[in-house]
Amino acid sequence: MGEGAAIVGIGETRVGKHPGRNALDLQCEAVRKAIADAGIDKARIDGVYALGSYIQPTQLHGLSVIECLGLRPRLAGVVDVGGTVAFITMVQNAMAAIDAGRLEVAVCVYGDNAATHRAPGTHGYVAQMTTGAEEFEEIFGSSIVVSYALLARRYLDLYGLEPEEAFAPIALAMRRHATLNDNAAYRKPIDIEDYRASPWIAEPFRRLDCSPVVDGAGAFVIASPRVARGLDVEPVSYLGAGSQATHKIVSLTPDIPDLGMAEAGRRAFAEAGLTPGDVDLLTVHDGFTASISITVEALGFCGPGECGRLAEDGGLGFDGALPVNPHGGLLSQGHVGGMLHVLEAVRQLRGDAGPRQVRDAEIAAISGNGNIFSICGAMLLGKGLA
Amino acid sequence: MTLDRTSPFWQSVDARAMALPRCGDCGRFHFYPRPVCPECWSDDLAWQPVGGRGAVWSYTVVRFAHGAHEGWKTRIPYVVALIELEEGVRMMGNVIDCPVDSVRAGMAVELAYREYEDGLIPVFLPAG
Ligand SMILES: [Zn+2]
Repeated sequence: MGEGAAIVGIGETRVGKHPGRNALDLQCEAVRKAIADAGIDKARIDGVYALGSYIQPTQLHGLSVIECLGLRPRLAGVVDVGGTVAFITMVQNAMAAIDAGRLEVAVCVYGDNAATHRAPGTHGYVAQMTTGAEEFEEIFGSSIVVSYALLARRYLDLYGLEPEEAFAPIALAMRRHATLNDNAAYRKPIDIEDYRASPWIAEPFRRLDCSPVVDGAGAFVIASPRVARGLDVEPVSYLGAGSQATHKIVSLTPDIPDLGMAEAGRRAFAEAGLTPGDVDLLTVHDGFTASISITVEALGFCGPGECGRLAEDGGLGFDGALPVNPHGGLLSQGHVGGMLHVLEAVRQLRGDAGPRQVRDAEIAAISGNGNIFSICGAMLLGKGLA
Repeated sequence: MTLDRTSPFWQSVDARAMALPRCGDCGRFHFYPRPVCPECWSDDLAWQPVGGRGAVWSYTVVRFAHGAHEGWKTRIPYVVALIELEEGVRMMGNVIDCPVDSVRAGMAVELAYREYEDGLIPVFLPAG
């Protein structure tokens, strides 16, 4: 290992609806904002890691970003492994290249126009956009929601829980956070009665257990410590990361305790030389409420089946014992693939999170899962240069 | 597109005798059909009919066909389950011909076939 790397710029578009703009337009806006935030000349970007639209898939997406923004990077790649793990993987790739002296400044970007450009009659991401092997699932009326509902049902059965105790407090905690984020799409306060009145989608999930898709994009700039020291910005250092892939479609999922999340977390903490007790805040890819339960428990922040109780007691609040997704997460900010989870962690570590600022935030964990916990990832970031 | 790898599965369903690929080297079945045995990488695979008995591993009652296959939008509420077959594989399937609220993990089911407007598919019925 060399000297490591630091995130030195972040940028995000408004989340919501951007009719008339495609994913590329949104991503270019996010990159411009991230570069401006870093205060660095665009000519210094020598690496580009991008992920294109799932709603309107295109080929060679990284080259589109490069061309639209007039960039001339030495390294470019598309990383497509799903929910937040894609961005953790981008960081791991950029880190390795920085360590090897192959680049000094990379930009990582994702965004989609999933709300305004989805096909008529569909809601969110339809199964064939991501799951593959759809011949053996889609034909039974499956979808992304159905896949996660199957995992969530198994979770409830395993620990003897009801959705109202396990999942409702998580939905409420994320919404409370979104009320403190003026770039969240769902800011109307909700209570347990709203949760109970929310219609079933695929049991045990009600609508409020599911993240709504939005249009939006985010980008961040990662640089060598040498470059970071020359910038007028609070750097946030990479401390460690880990990931673990196990399957693709839900039919082939390991049981909840055997998902890759625990292993991913162990690797990230080992690399960083930290333990869960050192973490001041956590961002979790939360396509569904159950995603938070499974992730928080697998990473060792609480015992199996205990996350709902932790949320009920206020523990997941930005002012609680284990702040989770102070920006509102996918559940209430809106689904931008988990890219904004990286940006929120950086914002919190800089102390720039305004009314939802976590006190004395020095270490943040970011975690996510691609597809149906098919690949799990975790990453640790720290305030300042390591 | 018809694939050599998957078409025998659908032919076996059409014959109402669902078969799965079984490895000639390690003896394991697998689902869905893949290019080699995912356990030992042998390509000595043969199609073998299954006994048809299984148990529900997990299940969901779908009440809003969110991004689902077109035909299913008209069939809500319906049950999608993950079924563990006695051959040691898990597959997705619909549990039908019982109240949707009666499906539970561990419930014994048996394989059947049902013709829908978009084709014949394997389904599962409560056993017994
Ligand atoms: Zn084998």
